[in-house]
Amino acid sequence: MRELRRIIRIALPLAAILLMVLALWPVPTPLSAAERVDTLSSRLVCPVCRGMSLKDAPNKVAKDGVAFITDKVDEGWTDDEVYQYWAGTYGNQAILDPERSGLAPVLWGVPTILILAGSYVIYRRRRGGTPIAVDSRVVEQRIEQVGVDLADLERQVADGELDAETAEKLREVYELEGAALSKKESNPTAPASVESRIKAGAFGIGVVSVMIGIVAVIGLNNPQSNAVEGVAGDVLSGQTINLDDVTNEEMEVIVANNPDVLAMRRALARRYFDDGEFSKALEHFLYILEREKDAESLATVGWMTFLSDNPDTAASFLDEALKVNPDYLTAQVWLALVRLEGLNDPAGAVPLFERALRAPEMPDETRTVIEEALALARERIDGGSG
Amino acid sequence: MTEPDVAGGSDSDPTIEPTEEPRQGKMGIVVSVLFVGAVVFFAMFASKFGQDQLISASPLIGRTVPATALPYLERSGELSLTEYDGDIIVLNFWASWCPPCRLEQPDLVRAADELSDLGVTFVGVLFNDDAGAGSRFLDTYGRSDRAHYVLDDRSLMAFDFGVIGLPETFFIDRQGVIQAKISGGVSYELLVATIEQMILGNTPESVKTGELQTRN
Repeated sequence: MRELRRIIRIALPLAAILLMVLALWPVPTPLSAAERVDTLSSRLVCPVCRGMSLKDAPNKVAKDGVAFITDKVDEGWTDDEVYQYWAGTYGNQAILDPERSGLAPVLWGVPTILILAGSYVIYRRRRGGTPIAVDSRVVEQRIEQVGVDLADLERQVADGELDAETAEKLREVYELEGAALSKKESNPTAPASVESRIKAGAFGIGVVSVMIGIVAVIGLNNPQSNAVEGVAGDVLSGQTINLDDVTNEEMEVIVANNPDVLAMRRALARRYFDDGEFSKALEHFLYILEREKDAESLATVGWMTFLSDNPDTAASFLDEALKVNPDYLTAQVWLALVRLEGLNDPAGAVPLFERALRAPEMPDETRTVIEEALALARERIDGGSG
Repeated sequence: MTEPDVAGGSDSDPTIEPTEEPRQGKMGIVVSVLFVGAVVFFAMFASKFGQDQLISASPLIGRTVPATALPYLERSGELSLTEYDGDIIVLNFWASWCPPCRLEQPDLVRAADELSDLGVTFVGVLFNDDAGAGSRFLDTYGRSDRAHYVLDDRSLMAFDFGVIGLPETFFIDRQGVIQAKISGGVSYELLVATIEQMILGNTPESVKTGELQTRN
């Protein structure tokens, strides 16, 4: 009897909730042709607009797309037929998820919150957290490499292969790296405790989260971010090689055999950077910078320098990147973050964030992230630094 | 000195002062888990919009060409690709505002002049541009009398072929089946090599040679 009462106590509220849900469940009503076109065009990706729907994108091709859907709906195509056509020519990625309604905005907002939380963790770590244990052999090897790089740099300066300004910047980076590595070598961190490992892990994941988030939502707007990683044809003895199928090791061989093909080296450096292998990425980006100043290499070296606790040098590289390509959105946002977090200069960050927000065709999520960072900078200006 | 209560049991023991350390440790774990979620989310988000993803999908290879008809750019009448069954078709999407299109145009003209007698039809589709600008482009960078130039004023053929940027060049075999795609500019050598493969009955590899251009 007691068991029965318990079952009733649980079942009754559940039944009541179920009835409420059923009562409130919207009864689908047939949509008009205009409503169907509206829904379809909000779910089909504009093919030339990088992530915007046909409905939201302002250009001619998007308008042509909406007109195309209107024609097909008038011809009697079902919604599924329209989706199938679009996915059939552009791939499944060209169909956006259902419109954000109900709980969806919460789900879409979570990553933004996580990025900010990640930034907070990084900020806390940078303000005197636990050092991360390093492998002393790796440090020794890297110190040796820095020495070789410095010697090579001096030789290039002596031979007139490198201008003084670039040489000075590279020397500064090498010396800073060497100093940081020497510090690690002379004072190796004891085996990390479980707690410090967790913190270190949180820090690492925080950095990666913020970077992936920013790169994912902002990098889309950089005209160079989709740069060639596909085929290097004529330059490589007439053969075409699809780099998507090539491993990093194979690319190293290709780069070693074609040292002057900087696009290949840049693609490899970008891979290392994306994988978080900053030492390898730095090596290749610096090689490129010794030969040509491109915005991507300057900016990425700047960002890695910032992550190595050298905000002044980082800002200098990012400034250079923006001189080369003033519209490079990723560099604008990275420099703003360096000014905000590294140089405690929110006033210097604000105009950069504002400029970044003026970029056309930016996904809403990107805009939200930058707006929140801008709000943070303004808050710091209003409340004093810190 | 009291050891930090890592297990977090200090709440139940009034003699032990709560400390900052264990809270930070737990927070680290929670934050780590949340960050992994964020990473996965953004990885999915990024892949959804990545252009390379769209290219590698190549959903059109192996499909029969659509029957869409387009008006000629510089003369009256319409062209439908199905009219050229039995020919190898080189279908090039271009625009006057697209820098790689300017670079590849002389090579396309040369290939059309030299290879048309082998049963190869060259079709240039002006996309996301106006007819006047297209004609001026041909005046400047060359046109082949052996090629056909059409205007895709409503982006219909571009949608049929899943064009995401310019230039893009498709290769259609004698049975009207799309066999390969070159994303980015083409060179005379690459055109010849690809057509050669098709004449031999082989399936040429789809390749990407450079950045695709879009217009806001």
